Amino acid sequence: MTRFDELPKTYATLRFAGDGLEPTHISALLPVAPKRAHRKGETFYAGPHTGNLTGRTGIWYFDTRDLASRDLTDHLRRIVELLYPEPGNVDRVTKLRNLMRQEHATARVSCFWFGKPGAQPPAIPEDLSAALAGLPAEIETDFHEA
Amino acid sequence: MIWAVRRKRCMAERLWSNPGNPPRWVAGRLGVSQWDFSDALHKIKKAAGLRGADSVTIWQDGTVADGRGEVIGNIYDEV
Repeated sequence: MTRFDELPKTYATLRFAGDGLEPTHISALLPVAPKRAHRKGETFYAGPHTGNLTGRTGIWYFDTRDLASRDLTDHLRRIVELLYPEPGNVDRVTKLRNLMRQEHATARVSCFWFGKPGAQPPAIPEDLSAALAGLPAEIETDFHEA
Repeated sequence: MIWAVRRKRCMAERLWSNPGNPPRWVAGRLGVSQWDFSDALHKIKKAAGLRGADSVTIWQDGTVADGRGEVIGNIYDEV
């Protein structure tokens, strides 16, 4: 639970999806454990209230909810650092792009932000959106105000 | 387990069913803050591969279903 004085609340998500996606192939390329990963048709446990679900499509999902920062840029930078281990190193992105092509998967990054009344919603830095476009990953925003 | 979730949902009241973001009173009916509710719903939709604008149904027991009526998560698992 988040208190009002702890706003803004923000994080970013990285999600690969596709009916032919084998999520272990994504995990083999990225240095983090996914928060959720399943193949299409696979049964997985989604929590004590939800119980077991069956994957509608293949998913590899990660988010930065554990990162203690109220700045969306920090969260997006965390995602970009997963894709580019060091500036100019495109090896990982190239491997991911090839895998996405082979498994007919898409990538999407979403930005969640919930601010206090009247707060200015964040902007997405151009260098980060350009880096994500290199995957390519579509960027989606979900901004709210209390 | 799936049967149990379905049975529980049958007894729960449907709070909201539409594309996009639910109105503020939905969070109130579930007894969670607007920001925790929005956070939880965002996470559930993204982990299910949905876009923000995609339609979902929210039940009084916190169950979230997609536009086809398939359960994709529960708000109380994420707050």
